Amino acid sequence: MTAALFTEQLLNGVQFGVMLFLIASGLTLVFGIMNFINLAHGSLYMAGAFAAAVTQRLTGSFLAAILVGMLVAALVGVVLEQVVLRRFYGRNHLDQVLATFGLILIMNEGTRILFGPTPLRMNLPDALSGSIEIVPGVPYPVFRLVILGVGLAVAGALYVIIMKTRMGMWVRAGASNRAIASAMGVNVPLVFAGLFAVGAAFAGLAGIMAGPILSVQVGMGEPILILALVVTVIGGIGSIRGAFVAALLVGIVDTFGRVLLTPALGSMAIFMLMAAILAFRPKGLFAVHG
Amino acid sequence: MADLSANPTKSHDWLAAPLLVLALALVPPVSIALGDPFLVKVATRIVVFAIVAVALDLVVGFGGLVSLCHAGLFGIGGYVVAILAYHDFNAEPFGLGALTFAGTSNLAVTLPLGALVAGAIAPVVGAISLRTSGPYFIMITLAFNQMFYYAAVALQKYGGEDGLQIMSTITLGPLDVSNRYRFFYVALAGLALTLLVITRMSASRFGIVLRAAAANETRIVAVGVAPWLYRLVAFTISGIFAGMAGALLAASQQFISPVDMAWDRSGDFVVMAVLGGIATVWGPVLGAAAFIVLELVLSSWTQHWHLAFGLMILLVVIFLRGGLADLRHILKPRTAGGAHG
Amino acid sequence: MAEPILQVTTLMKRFGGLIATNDLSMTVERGETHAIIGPNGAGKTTFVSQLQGLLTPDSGSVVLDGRDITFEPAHKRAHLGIARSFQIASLVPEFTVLAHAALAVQSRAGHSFRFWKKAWQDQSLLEPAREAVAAVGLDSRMHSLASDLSHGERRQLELAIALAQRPTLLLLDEPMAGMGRQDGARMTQLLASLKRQYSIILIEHDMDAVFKLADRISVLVAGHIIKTGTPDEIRNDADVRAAYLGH
Repeated sequence: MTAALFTEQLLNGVQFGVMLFLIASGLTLVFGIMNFINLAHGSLYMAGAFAAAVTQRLTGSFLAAILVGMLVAALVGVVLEQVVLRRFYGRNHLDQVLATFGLILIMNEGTRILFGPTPLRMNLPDALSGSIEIVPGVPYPVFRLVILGVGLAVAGALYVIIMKTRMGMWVRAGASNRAIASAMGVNVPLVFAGLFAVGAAFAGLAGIMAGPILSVQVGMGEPILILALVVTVIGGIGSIRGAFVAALLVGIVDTFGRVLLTPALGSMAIFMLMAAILAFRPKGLFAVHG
Repeated sequence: MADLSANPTKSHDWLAAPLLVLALALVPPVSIALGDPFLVKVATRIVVFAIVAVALDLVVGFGGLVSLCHAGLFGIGGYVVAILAYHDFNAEPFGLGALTFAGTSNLAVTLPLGALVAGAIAPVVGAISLRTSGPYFIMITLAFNQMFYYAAVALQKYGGEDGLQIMSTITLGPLDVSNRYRFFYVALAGLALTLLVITRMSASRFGIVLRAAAANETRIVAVGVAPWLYRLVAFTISGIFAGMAGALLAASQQFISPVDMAWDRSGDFVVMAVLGGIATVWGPVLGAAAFIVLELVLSSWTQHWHLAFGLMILLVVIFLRGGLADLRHILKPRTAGGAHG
Repeated sequence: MAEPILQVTTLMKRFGGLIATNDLSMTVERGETHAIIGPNGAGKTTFVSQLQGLLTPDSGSVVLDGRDITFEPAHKRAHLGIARSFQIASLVPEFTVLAHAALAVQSRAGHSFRFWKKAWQDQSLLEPAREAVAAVGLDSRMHSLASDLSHGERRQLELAIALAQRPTLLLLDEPMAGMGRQDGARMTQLLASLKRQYSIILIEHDMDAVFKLADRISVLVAGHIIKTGTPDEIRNDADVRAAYLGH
């Protein structure tokens, strides 16, 4: 493997990783704080992508597409939470899995009814569609660099908020011990609803960023969701830091796995990684414990 | 005879499973009488899925573990049958490292083999998934299912994403079972076996430990039982039956594809079990029947039937807690407290 | 003199910055009923959990009948002779009273990898189970679901399960919690009848019961035992009064 190829794949891996982080961060906090297993999170990723694709088609503006996409994803997330998911907070995981499974069917079919079965294309504005040489001899797509930049910026912002602000402290308290946080006066339902909206927006953003690369189609959310679940499990439920490290790990292993191994083994690489890590750290790398 | 379950209606529950099997056994003659082979085709699918749903019930209903990888184990059983039939049809030996085997279309060999392969993979999945608590278990089993799915898609030689057709004639020992009606009874025998084994297990010491651990792990540990191995064994046994069902499906539709083992199929199996009622062993049979019939009916009305289906699942989870099996209480009301004997 | 049934030496347990068990040492003599009293938050339940095995101490040791069990998992300790009843009844809602006792008997009998015979028609399980249920006076509720029991009955069931384990050491975590006077008196009488057959550690707030049942009392304050003595000694001790009894 040449140095150029290595650099390119490494960047691809990190870029994929930050995308996974955007999705996994919402999942891990929702799970860690409210003990709620949300399989419908992938639908928010899809919602963001579709809203963005349609917005771009109508306005021609990529920026508008991003903003509207994130807003729609957040909105759909809040509506879902208030109308359906809220009923399942106290209930057992089986009910949550079934309810969110039903939601996936509804969201996917609903999207198909609205937009048809054909994938939508998202075009990149000229400014983002070229390549630049980040290292002499290694041209790399500008858009992917932007994704990387945006993803790291969001990760950084999230880190600062969670670790350095009061609201972040509430979130961490809730993640490690719900009952005590509640007893200490933290308005857990409100914190949670806010978290859900933010997580949904991030998932939508990830969908928007994936759109130009992977295409926007019904059912696009679930394969990514499953990977995000793997990230959550490897990182440790409830831990943002864990989600970040695990996301990068998964992104890099997946990318290199596909390049270095046969297609069969390549697609299985991440799951082997998960199995290996769980063998030594059953609760994930940075288990928070509630 | 001291029946320690206080619910008096429970003592009649043992009739339900045999009745269901009997009712299903009448389908082929009815189907012939009506001149409609489609009925048997649907019933076969119901029987095969019912096997998985009942096996899944052992893990979900009695073990309290939500497994989302049963479609994967199911598919593994199916692929064993299809791959060996492929090698038989093409008169090509099947090579596994240094060893080679002849292919075969004999279910007497491939059915147990499919069950065994699934039964060998299940404990590996289980051992990793059971290391910590419930939520991890769900996510990890889902991840493993996805892995099995990708593995099937990667099998270019065996059709990859398009799946694998069985071109040879499936036999069961000396019998030719490619006949739809005959095959149905083979599948039904499989269901009867599954119901018998799972029913006995649920009332055995093993079943008691499993159920107690699911309801209150602290209590079971306090009296001296570590649940981990019991759960692993339950998961493995469940996997064996799922593999058997997959083998039956492949044989019955003469075809297997990754679609049969995708993650949403795993979700379907859980829905079937819960819809039927996971408090009983036989409930999931009703659930499988209801699921497949509903699927047929809805899809004939609209191509967007998934929407209605998703809505139905949602409503069932919200309102119908005990599943269809709870309807039997309409026949004999449950008395609270149950002073018995 | 016979060896004590339980020897706890300099037990320490921290949760982050909080020291829940602080250099705790005590012994329990064979056949003794040893009560542990102390203000709320003193760490009584944490202590019991370390004896039972749900928690592992950071340092120190727990020796049961001459055997170091400090790091043995809880399920193993049940087979070594420890039975714990929980402050908040820990039951299986769909099982009957008899079934709970049978579960304990079943566990004692060895592994449960038996897949065919019906457990609840097995007299070798049911006989001892019935005895345990009768011993705590719950015969009339033998076939009632745990979810249908009154509060007092649940506490009785907790005790029945513990007895069905045929333990050498009973760890009773507030067996009288939440009971009215009648139920409480009944439970006290019941415990009195068990006194010589078992060694008992009794965590309780009900002082009447404690002074009636205990051979010795240890006072636990902030994770540490400040005094151990006979009921009379404790009752009249100035330090104990100051720390706990309040006057």
